[in-house]
Amino acid sequence: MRYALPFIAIVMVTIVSAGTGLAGGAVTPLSEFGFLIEQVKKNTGEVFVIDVRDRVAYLYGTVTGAVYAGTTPEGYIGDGRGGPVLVITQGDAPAELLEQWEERLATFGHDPIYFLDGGFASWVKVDGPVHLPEGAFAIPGTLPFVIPRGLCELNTPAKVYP
Amino acid sequence: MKWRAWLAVVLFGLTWSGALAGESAQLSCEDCHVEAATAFGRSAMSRAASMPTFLAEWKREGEDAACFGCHAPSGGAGVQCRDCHGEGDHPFSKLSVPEICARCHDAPGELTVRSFFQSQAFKDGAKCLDCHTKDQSGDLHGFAGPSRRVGFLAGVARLRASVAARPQGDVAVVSISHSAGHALPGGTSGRAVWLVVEGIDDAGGSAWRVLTRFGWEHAPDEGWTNKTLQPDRVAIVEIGDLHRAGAQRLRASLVYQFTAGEYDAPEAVHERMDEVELSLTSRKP
Repeated sequence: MRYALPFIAIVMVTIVSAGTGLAGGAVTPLSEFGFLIEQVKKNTGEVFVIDVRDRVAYLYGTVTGAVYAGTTPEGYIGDGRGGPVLVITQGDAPAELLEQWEERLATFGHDPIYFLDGGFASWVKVDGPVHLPEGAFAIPGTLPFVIPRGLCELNTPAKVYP
Repeated sequence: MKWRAWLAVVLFGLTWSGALAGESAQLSCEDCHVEAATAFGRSAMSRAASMPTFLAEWKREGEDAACFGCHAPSGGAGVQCRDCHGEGDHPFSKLSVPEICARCHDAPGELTVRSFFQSQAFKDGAKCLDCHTKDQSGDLHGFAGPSRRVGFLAGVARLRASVAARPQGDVAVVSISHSAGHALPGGTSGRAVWLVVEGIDDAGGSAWRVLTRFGWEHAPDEGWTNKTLQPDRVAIVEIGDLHRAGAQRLRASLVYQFTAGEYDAPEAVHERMDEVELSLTSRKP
């Protein structure tokens, strides 16, 4: 218990749920924040993570698996699959901006919508999983690479298990 | 008379032990382990050296005898009981999984088991057999992968697609998550998973298409490169210039390719793992 209060003070995750009619300000219980970290660690795709900070901040490090969604809610288009979404902001974003994101994301069926009070820095403080997105980028196209001709390229590329 | 009695006993003993030895020599695993043998007999492993795809590639690549080190270590049509269970005295000692699998599924041309050791699934206590056995009979010898069991790939991978407004214009962002528990695709180096992103025009036709291949690749100067989808990691593809050629919608598909070669090769065999669409024409869905 002695760790719980400072932890909550640091994290202060705000949950805004369009589906349940909650407006900004409701605080996610600590257990639910742990759920978010677990979901991100497991990479199940159950919780969609978007980063709405500027592009440079995103490239310097973000929540593991987060995709860059731009800084303007009106410019965002979702795939309509909805589900939970975790929105990574720069510090304490203005309430008006959060409301715009909330409205926009709800349009695409997202529910619940999680905003971190304190933004990305709060996630880092509680050791939430982070990565450099550059390592996740895949480059389209197959040239100049040579695709294996056969199903098994004998003795390459893998090594024999020790 | 006493010596005759002893002789009868000795002769009987020799005959009986000889009969047992002969019987033992003739007994095969499937004589007692019927369910296991039946289940294994349905697996591709049991025919690994006689499958048409293997034979075609083996002949094309010069009929290298080393291939049988995995495809038929003891000869015959494929993998046999003793290849995993050993030649020791019956009953055999318990197999060490996944190390026994690694002998072939980490080499040559594979890193399935090594990537499994890196996964959250391994940390959570998952075993190879949890997903790759249990055929209809429930027997643990019914080995199967995506090519042998319909629906095996269902729910394994998940796509998300979105469009972000950027200074240079709209950019589509497609992310791939998967729960294979090892590199995807697993199996041999010729398999691939393709992300196919298309701009769809008014008539429903393909205005443009961008392909991204996940699998092993080879570059003349760099040798082999592992570009499989790693366990527990999201892969992201960003694509610009979305509205060209009259594209109205964006469709992203994740496709498993069982055959080696290009995506559009006539002989390519595909299975769609996931697909998602979004509208490009309106800021409202």
